[in-house]
This record gives sequence, structure tokens and C-alpha cells, in this order.
Amino acid sequence: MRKLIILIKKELKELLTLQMLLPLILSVIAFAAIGDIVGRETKKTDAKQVIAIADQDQSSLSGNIINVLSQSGFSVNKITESTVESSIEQAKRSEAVALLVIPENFEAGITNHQPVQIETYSIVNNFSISSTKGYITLQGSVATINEYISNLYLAGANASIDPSLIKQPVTTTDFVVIKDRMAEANPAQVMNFVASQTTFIPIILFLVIVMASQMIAIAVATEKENKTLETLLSAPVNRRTVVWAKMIGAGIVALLSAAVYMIGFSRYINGMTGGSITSGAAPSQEVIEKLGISLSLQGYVLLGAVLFLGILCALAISIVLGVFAQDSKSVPGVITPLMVMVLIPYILSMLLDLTTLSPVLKYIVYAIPFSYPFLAAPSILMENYNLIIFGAIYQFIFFVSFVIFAGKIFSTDYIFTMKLNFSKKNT
Amino acid sequence: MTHHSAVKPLEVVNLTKNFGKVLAVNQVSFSVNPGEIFALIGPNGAGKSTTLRIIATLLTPTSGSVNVCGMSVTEDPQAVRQSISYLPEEAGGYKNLSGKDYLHFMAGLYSNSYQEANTFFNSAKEICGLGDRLNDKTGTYSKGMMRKLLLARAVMAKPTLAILDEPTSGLDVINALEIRKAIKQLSKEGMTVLLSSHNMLEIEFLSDRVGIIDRGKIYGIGTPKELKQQYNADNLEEVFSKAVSNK
Ligand SMILES: Nc1ncnc2c1ncn2[C@@H]1O[C@H](COP(=O)(O)OP(=O)(O)O)[C@@H](O)[C@H]1O
Ligand SMILES: [Mg+2]
Repeated sequence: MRKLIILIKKELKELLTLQMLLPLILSVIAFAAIGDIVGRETKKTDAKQVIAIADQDQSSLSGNIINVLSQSGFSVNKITESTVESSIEQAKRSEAVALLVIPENFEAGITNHQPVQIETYSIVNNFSISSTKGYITLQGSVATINEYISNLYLAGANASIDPSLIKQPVTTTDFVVIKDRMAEANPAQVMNFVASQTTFIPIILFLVIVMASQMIAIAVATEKENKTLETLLSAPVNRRTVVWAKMIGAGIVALLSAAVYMIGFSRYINGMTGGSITSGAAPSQEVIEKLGISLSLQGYVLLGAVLFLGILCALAISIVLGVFAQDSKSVPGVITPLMVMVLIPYILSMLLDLTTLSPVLKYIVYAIPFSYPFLAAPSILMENYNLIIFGAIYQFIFFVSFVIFAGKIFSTDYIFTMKLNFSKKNT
Repeated sequence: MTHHSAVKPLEVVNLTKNFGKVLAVNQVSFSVNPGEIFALIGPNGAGKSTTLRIIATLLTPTSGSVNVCGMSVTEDPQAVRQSISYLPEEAGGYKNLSGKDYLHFMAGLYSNSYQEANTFFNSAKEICGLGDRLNDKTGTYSKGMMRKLLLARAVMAKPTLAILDEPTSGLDVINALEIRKAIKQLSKEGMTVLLSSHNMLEIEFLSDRVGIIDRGKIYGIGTPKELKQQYNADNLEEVFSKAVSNK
């Protein structure tokens, strides 16, 4: 036990260096900052998207339209120039996202029940989300104009019925049913909310597994390269202790970075959803509770366990793969099989529901210990606990077997002869 | 002699090691007496490191036996590791640890208590002679400093048998001399040393007895004086070329 602690301390000293911590912390700060900035910027663009209107008709109808738009919450800028070219210039100066040109004889056309046309000019300054939103604002203003005019028509044709009733005689009250729970809610909002809660988990898992498995494989390869491994394995220490110390040291570092990533990402997500990029608001707290679509404490614990076990499995595999590396430079190549194993459930889970795959594919996915973190959040929300508990047990068995296997390798000639065989081929 | 039953620190009998088709060590036998400095000398690829790594319990022999203080490296490697310490050829350290951290770490592994670890550390600190540089990361050390640190590490626990693979190779004259002096001193204090070298001239000064090895086979064992007489040679290099061409 004393020697295990001595070894773990040394692993941590070797791993927790500035070179390792700085990129981690910087990337997390960057993520959080991006979330904050995007959130703030989208709020800003929400507030001041200007629609410019060049009124070439100068009729009472065109005047009304401009009033209706202002009343409907659009910030309207009336153009004073007369030609289209100079109108566009003025619209640009006023930082409008679009220009609407109401042509001459607009009112006359409407009065005669003729189809009329409005030219729209979208002013694109860049290709970011705020420009896309400019087009949405433009469409909204055109819809408002159509709404206004069709109401006029309907009011003229049949004055006794409310125009809005004619256009939408049927309205809906929306309910969402999940298992035996039900609430009145917008299904799109519910889906968005669940996604925003759980999408970042696979990303974090992927980042941490890539980082941690490189880290431990490099640690093993470097020990071989520097012959410190020979020193360690000729010392009066149990070799299984050496393997466990490496596992525990790397596990601690992985857990630490997972926590740091979590914090960074939740800031990122909060920033993003603080702006209104995701369509619509979040469902009310009451709906969330009724539907059970936020993870409970037990849910989080189970999710955390499956995540951490997934990382441990990756570390255990990497420690074995590290033995095959002739030096630290060949580590990325050597751990490719592991990356593929993580990518399979990652990509499949983005595209498909893993639980409804065809049997063969499903058992392949279930055999990969990294599938369970991807399966966990949706399964737990669906109260499908059995699959995840089974997964956690499977991961644990997988992990322990691999550590025992690693211990076996560390107890044979193999760990020293591997490298030479490789370098023989290369030189 | 009354101590007929005294066990030798090292007894190698008919040791053979194959790496696939490569016969690295071929029926090698020798033994080392208490307090002696024994050197295996031979050119690169002779099988010195392979022999030393088998004795250090890192590789398993294909056939033959190796006993350290009467304990078999194959049957009881864990016990053998209590009696030996091994300095690998061209070894490095942990780049992010300071020299001090490194010695503390290794002292912890070789000791059974905190006090013992401290004793080991203090002795290593003295032997390496690195002074304040011990506070620096080993990544910043020169080759000579690194070797001194590792030698100090290898002997701090006063092992019955110190196994040193090419302890002076790649060092400049002054550093090599300092390392040889340190080894000589340790042997005077009672430590048994098995070392290897491809530099046959320096070995004359350093070792009590030598074994000449080439292509996995031993061609002669004795004190430098005996060997020079036997082959009518001026130095061990000459002995080597005569011994190897004779057979
Ligand atoms: N792990 C290994 N795999 C294959 N061949 C090896 C291995 N280690 C050593 N050899 C071969 O065994 C022979 C002896 O090597 P070695 O003991 O390192 O010699 P020395 O230390 O005397 O220079 C060489 O031919 C070497 O290439
Ligand atoms: Mg060698």
C-alpha cells in the first residue's frame, strides 16, 4: 500500500505538468468565452435588426403597412431616397438587414384584387448566424404584411366572421407523453431541452478519452524509451502495483480534466441558450418536473459512473497499447484501434437510436464499453435503468480484466522484447 | 576456509537466451564472489546486456540457471529483487521530476519504512555529488550528471549485488573517471558489483575479475593479470582479440 501511494504520487507529478494543464485550461476558458460571446451577440442582434422600407407608392395603404410593422415589433427605417440604388445605400448606412421596396400602384393593385409584388433586398455582411436571422426577420415582416392585407380582404368579404377564425378555424392544445408521464407542452421545446442537457456528454467523453488514453500510452512508451521501466520492474515492487499506480494516476488526471471540461461546457451551453439560437424558450419548470426530463440525482450518479468507467476502460486498453509503441512518437498510431472503438458508438448515437439497431449491430455496440455513456442519458430519462446498470457492470468487468491482462504483460519478457522487434523492422 | 557453504552473490550456469532465431547468450557460466567487481567485456552485440537483464529478473532465460545469493531468478524473482539493483544501459529519468524527487521516489520503492527511505536518500545525495542541482528537473541534466544520479540511485539501498550495464559508456574522461572511482569505493565498502563494458582498457583498472564474451559465448575468465599472462598480451584488448581468434 505504501509503495502504491509512492508510485501514484510519482505518476501524478509526471502527468500534472504545466504543459498538460495549460492547454486544458485554455481550451475550457475558450469554450466558456465563446458561449458567453455568442450568447451576448445573439441577444444584441435580436434587439436591433432593422428593416428598411422604401415606399414608392406613398399611399394610405403603404403608410398603414409601415405602422402595422412598427406595432408588430419590427424596427422600421423609412427610406427617403427615391431610386432603388440609393435606397440600398441608405439601408446599408442604417445597418438594416433588409430593404423592402413597396412599388408604385401597390394600393391600386390591392384594391383591384390583383396580385402585387414587393422586392426585398437582403443585405448580407457576413455568413454567420446573425445574417441568417436577418432573413428570418425579413420573412416575418413579409408575413405580417400578408396577414394584414388578407385580413382586409376577409373583412370586406364577410364582415360577420373574425378573419383570424377563417384562417385558423382549428387550434391545438399540445400534450407530451413520456412513458406514463404527461404534460401540456410544446414537443419541439421538450426535445430541444433534453438535447441541450445531454448533447455535451458525448463530446466531453470523447475529448477526455482521446486525451487520457494518449497520456497513459505516452507514459508507458516514455518509460520504455528512458529505461525507467526496467529500473521499476527490477525493483522490489509488485508489478501489478506498478500497473495499478499508472491506472489510478491517469484516472485521477482524467477525472480532473472531465470535471474541468464539464464546467467549461455548461458555461458554453448556458451562454448559447441564453441567446435565442435554439428555437423557442425552455419548457417551464413545472413541465420539466411532470415529464421527468431532467436527470435526478440518482440519474446523474449513474451517468457519472458509466462515464468514468468508460474512461477507465480506455485507460486500461491504452496501457496495453502503450506497450506496443516503440517510443512516445508512435503512440497516436498505436492507439488508433481504441479511437475507432470510441468513434463507432459516438457516430452511431448521433445518427440513430442505439437501442433499436438490428440485433447484430446492437450486440456489437453493447460489446463496446464506450457505448454506455452514449446510451446512458436517453435511457435514464426513459427509465430504462436495467440496460445502463448492466452496462456499468459490464464496463467494470471489462476494466478489471484488462488491468489484469496488463499486469500479465508487465510480468513477461514481452514488455521489453516488443520494442526491439519493432525497431529491428524499421532500421 | 570454514565457510564452505557461503552462498555466492551470483552464480550463472549454462545460461542460454534466444530471441526467435537470434542466439543472444549461449551456454554462459560464471560466478561472482562477495565484494568483488566482475566485468563482462566484449564488443557491441556480444550478449552482455541480455545476460545482465536476465540476472536483473527482466528477461527469462531460455535455459540454464541464474542464482542470486542462492535464489533463482526464475523461481523467486521477487526475492532476488530484494538483493539486487540494476542500472540499465543508456538509462534516463523522469523528465518532470527533480533529481531530489527522483531519489525520494526510488528510495521509497527500495525501503520498507519512511526512516529507511530517508537513510537511502541521504546516502544517494552524498554519492551523486550533485549538490544544489538536485533541485532541478532531471530533464535539464547533462549525460554525466544523469549517470551520477542513476548510479547513486542504484547503490543507495546497499544491494548485495549491483548490476551496472555500461556504467561509463558515452561519458567524457572526467565523468567516466568519477564514476569508476565511485564504483571502486563502493566495492571497498563491501558491495558486490557486476558490470559490463565494451571499453576493455578501462576495465583493467576497475575490475577484480573479467569475463570475455563475444557472440553470446564466454571465451575466458580471470583476473586481468592472469588473462594477460595466459595470452601473453600487454592489455585486455589484445587478450580479447587473441582469445576470440583462437577458438
Ligand atoms: N529483445 C530482443 N529481441 C531480439 N534480439 C535481441 C533483443 N535483445 C538483444 N537482441 C540481440 O541479442 C544480441 C545481444 O545483444 P545485447 O545483449 O544487447 O548485446 P551487448 O549488450 O553485448 O551489446 C544482439 O544480436 C541483439 O541484436
Ligand atoms: Mg549492451
